[in-house]
Amino acid sequence: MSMNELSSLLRRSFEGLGFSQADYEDAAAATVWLESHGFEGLDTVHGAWSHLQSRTVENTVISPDCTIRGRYEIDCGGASLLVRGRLMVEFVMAEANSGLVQAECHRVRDRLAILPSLVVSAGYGIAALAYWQNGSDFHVAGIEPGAAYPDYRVFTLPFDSDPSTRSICIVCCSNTQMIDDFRDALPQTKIAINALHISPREMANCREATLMNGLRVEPDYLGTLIVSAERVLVESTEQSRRGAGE
Amino acid sequence: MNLERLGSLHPFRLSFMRILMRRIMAEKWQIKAEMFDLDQEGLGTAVYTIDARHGQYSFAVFANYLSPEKRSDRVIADQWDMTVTLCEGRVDDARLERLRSNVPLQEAGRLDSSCIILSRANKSSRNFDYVVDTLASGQQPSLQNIARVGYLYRTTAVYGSGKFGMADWQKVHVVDKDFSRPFAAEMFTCYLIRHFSLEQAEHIARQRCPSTAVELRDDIKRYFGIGNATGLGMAPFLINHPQLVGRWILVRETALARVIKFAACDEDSHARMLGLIDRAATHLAEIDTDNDIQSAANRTLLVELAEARRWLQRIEPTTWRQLVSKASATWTTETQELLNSLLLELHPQLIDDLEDELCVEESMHLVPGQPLTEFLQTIEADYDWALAIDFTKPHSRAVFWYRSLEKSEPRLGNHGVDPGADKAMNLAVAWDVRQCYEQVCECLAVNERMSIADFLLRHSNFRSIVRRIQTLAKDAYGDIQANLLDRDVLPIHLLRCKLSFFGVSKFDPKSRMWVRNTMFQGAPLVSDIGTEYEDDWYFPVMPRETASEHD
Repeated sequence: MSMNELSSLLRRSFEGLGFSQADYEDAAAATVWLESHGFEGLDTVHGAWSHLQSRTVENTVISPDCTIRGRYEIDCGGASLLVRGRLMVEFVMAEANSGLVQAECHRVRDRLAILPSLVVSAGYGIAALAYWQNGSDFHVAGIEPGAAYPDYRVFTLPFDSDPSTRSICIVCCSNTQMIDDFRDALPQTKIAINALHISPREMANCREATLMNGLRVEPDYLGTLIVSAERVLVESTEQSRRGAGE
Repeated sequence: MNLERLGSLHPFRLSFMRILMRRIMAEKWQIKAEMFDLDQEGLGTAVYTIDARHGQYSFAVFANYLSPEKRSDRVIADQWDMTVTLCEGRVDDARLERLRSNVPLQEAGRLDSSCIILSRANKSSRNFDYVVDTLASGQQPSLQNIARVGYLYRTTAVYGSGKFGMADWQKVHVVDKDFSRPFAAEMFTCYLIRHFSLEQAEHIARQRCPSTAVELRDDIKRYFGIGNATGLGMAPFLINHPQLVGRWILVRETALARVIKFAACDEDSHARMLGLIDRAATHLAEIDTDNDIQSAANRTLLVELAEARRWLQRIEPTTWRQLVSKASATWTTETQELLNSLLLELHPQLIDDLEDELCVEESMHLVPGQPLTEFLQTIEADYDWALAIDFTKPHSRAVFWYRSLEKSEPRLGNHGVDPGADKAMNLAVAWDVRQCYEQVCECLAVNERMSIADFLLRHSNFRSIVRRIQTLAKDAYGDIQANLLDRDVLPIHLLRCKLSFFGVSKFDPKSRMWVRNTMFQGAPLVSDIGTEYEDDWYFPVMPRETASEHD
């Protein structure tokens, strides 16, 4: 399957779940990005499917709470970052030209889906950083202004996170040095063991391989997506055929 | 971008077919039949190899029997006279069998990322048998017949851009550099369908009457193009790719601006323009369409072209600006745009470099920090056309666009009559703008210091239209200015716009929703590649008869 074909199918599938145009566009783009860069976007969709079907993401009202200038606390109400990742990053980016902006987003799922949104930020010339803890794994992804791919690392911490919080911190700034300093000051990186590193070059290579060879999609996943996508189609009748110019 | 003007565009020097032919001829692509395994009825398999400047490709054709009652231009058909694919590299036996198992199935088959294009075509029932019979009896076909229907086959769909498992456009753009310009691979596929259609007709004639059969005369062969039927499926493309369409328009307008600004209307170019007007008039007069609106438009064009010719002879302008101004003040949009197309033929040295400007990387960018008050001004300035639509009038939201269960074919439905309004496609830009505008006004009434980011956190469903407005407001040509929900919407304008960039001619609308047309009529033949090329096949006219033609 090509990336374009997968994107088209996903858009319809999410539309079939009742997503708004913005939601199905963002969710499809995030999924294809993850899948084509080796981050198993379709597994993420599959794992989140019942959640996505419930449409809680669409009904979530997001109200940022600004405690200190440049620092926000956001309750995302359980939203998947497949759908809302870009919105979160765009919100943080809005003030990033006037200094470092940090948003702690609580109650989110599918946090790895923040990666493609960081690329969006870089496209605006804004450096971005996202970090989160899942169990004893501490994930850090950062991107420089103008870069096509983030740098992604996973560290192992000697303690587990609280599974109920499921939060992610997004930091944006037009000044790359300030982002670097912020990352270097994170206490977790000082006590953690670097367990995984996926460099921008590795992501680029993965995407190129996808482009050359296409994507392989599990038949079960494909079936689920097709069934959902067909919900946006309208039954054909003799009368409707006239609606195509017959 | 005004829809009516978009619907008045004619093919021109930077249309994709023209660019492709210049490239093929300049780079002397080698096109050979590696396999031509057809039976007496012309059914079987053919494989052509293509050696282009940057790569090797193959074009596989599967010609199957199709009963006349199964022959349909509609996308929902499931059998065709000919199915084809253009793919990278060479085709060995194993690969050919894989293609044979899938290509004839079209949408129901699966291809891989080594395939670039999938297409199909049906015989023109009027022409094909007539031409074969005529050739078999040792005669050349009547030129008048070809003028009426200038092709043997008509394509009904040409798929690329990663559909059905094929290569993504990004891959084609980067790897298959011979097709790195928009729709180059699609156009090339149609060119080869035309080539095969001519070879197949000659083959059948030879098989039928080996002792008397003759080949088509080359000038008559060139007068055969490849037919095309285009329906509503093309319309959403223009709405969903406003940046690409905007770029094409920008290229065309830039070319025209250069000609107006830098080219003098000297004696030579003046004479050539008169010649081009004559040729275009002859071409138009030879178009056979039973569509009343198109016929009337063509008649008007002919009258106005004659006026333009007389004006040019009488005034003898020194700049082309004078002609453009005169056209703008005097003649219809169709005539203005036809004259623009002709002007662009006169000064290739001024415009041909623009061939490389037709691609654009599309992405809608949000400016989250923009104050909402400023965004409101953007809507009012750049989308005034959308705000001017009175959506309280029933006709303004009388129709909806939807996808049918039959191959996802886009269709138009009428509210209150047809089912499916709840599954409407998102093509209603003007309506979305209006709703967004009202929400923005409501928010500003409460808090006028709000930013776009604040607004979208509260009203996230508007993300898509806000990105679109912010992005396209910066583009030279922005959005297509039309209400696609209006009772009287003319989708055919959208089709005509895209087809003009393809370079098709002889528009023959069959309704307001689909149009037949002709591609590559007058273009060089494969056997012409390597010979001296004059890029002079646009607005083709009937070749002159010879005495022996109807003997």
